Amino acid sequence: MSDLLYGFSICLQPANLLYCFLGVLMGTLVGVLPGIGPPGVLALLIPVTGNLPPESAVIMLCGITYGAQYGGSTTSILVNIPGEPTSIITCIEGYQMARKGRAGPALGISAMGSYIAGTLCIFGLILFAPILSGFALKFGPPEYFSLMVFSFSILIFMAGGTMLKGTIMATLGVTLGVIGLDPTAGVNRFSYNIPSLMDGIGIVQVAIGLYGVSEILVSLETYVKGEIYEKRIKGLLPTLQDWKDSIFPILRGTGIGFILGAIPGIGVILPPFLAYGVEKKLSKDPSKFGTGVIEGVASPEAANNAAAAGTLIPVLSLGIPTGASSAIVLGALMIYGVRPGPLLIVEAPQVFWGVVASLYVGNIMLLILNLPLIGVWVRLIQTPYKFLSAFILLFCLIGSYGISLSANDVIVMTVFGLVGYIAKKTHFELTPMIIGLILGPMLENALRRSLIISNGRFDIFFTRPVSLIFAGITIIFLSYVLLTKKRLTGMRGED
Amino acid sequence: MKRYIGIGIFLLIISSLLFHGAITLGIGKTNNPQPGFVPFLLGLIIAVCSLALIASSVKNLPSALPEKRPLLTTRTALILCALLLFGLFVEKGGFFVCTFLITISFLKINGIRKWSTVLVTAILASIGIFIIFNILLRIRLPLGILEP
Repeated sequence: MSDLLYGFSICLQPANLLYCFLGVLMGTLVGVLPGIGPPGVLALLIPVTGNLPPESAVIMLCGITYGAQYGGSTTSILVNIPGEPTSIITCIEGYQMARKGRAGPALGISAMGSYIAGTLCIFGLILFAPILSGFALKFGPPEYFSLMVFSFSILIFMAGGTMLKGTIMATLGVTLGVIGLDPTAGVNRFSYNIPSLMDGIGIVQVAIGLYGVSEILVSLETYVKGEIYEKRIKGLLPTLQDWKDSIFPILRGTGIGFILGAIPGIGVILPPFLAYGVEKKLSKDPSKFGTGVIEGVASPEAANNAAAAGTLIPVLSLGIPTGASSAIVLGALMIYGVRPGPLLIVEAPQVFWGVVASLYVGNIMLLILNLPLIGVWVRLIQTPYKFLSAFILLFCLIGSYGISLSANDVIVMTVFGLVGYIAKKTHFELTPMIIGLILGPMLENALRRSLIISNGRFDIFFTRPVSLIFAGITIIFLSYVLLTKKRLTGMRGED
Repeated sequence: MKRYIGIGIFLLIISSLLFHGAITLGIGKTNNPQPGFVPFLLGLIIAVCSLALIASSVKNLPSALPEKRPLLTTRTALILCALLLFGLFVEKGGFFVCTFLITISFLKINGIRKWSTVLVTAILASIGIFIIFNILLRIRLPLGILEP
């Protein structure tokens, strides 16, 4: 408890409160824009956090994450356009609620459900993160290697598309991570004497290209103007009946989201769908789902926020991301000079506990700030997409150039904008690539050190108990996929 | 399907670059992996995957539906060219001049016809960025040709 109070003392400093507020505001502002999801929002706004002290930067980044998710929900409810897979469920029920004149309660319960989930997840983080960190302190290179391979295998399966495509993207990501200086031998690899490549490929520039530029390029071709809910939004506070209908779905969604979000590879995509399915199953009248029921908004939104909190456990305790957003957060932490992993709680407690406290503070700010600003967000959404997309691209430019005031970053962003665009159009998932880029150097380091320790023998991954568990689960899982041929190549019918 | 064959061939080129680089750097042995060790493994994985992709595409080619739309549309190509030109000229031309020009490009590519709307938007965007970055955040973006 004293550690949590320490975290609040960090988070409640006036400067950090301001940064959290700005993060929530900017995150919601950009998250509301159609065609750009939380990973894109994070990538675009990371350069803004660059000059801040690490704990302030992380608190602002967390605020951006919460704001981006809420912004996506707002667009889903008011415009019926899901900016992200996690918002699809909110579209189904939330927009139907809006059509019934209940946009206010939908938005209200979305914010309040997220707040409750965030508050409860603090206790989960306090309980599990230090335990996992303590356990992970005993990890050596073989354990880390096996864990990362396990994470990749789950991620490739869960990310969508086929496993062949997922494997290709993950491998390409790791390949990108290899470019630059070899940390052990000090030689330059695959930089071809290009100065900007000698330091390696920047994560933020790649993320802005993949998740910002490419999303806009694809959206310009496929954008369907949603029916914007244009009536005056009233009644943001849910009624007593709304609370009676929502409280247990919120609690269930929180549990589902937190547990699943903490599993490497699962991330934030699955929990809202599962939470929705559970509510439908438990409902006395499942047929009403799809017509605009408040529990169909409350549970997935709580699951979404809880999953985002759950992803912080492997990110902060192990340094392993579980999805695109957490991968970008991890990349940002490295840029700030913070080393996520088992030693984070010991080496940088102000960062760790500041993040935990920001879960509560950030969600309060969402409630206080965003509900009154709904009208502003509606007007923003009503801006013609021809203008919005131009401004978002401009934002991408400023974001990438502002990292280190280098034109090369703009070129890298453009190249990866093209890569992301082609990947989306040919159904290659981007998440394995960004995670490969971030984990690649760690994966290589773990593999090389393991082989040196074992004198070249690969059985080291199977003779150490923890490594054996991760390796064993990976092999069983991949064997199952191969035997059942689930989504191996699946080329037929994809075009 | 033909797109995947093209992608597979591109990936084979990447894997051959990885193999070449790995051999140049030195692969070493498993008990003493050198800088080329992991790139060699990566090249191997990419080569196997790209051959699988090509084989699967060729196998399904007869039953595949013809591709309705081009992979790269004119609008996308123009936007990417504009971004690339921005990167190439921002330091000589200056951030604000390039922002002004690229905003015009984006709006025109997106189909905004009225020049008054385009020019006013571009001017406001450039001035706004100048105020936010150079004045409020005190980040000196290059002035380029506007440098006194």
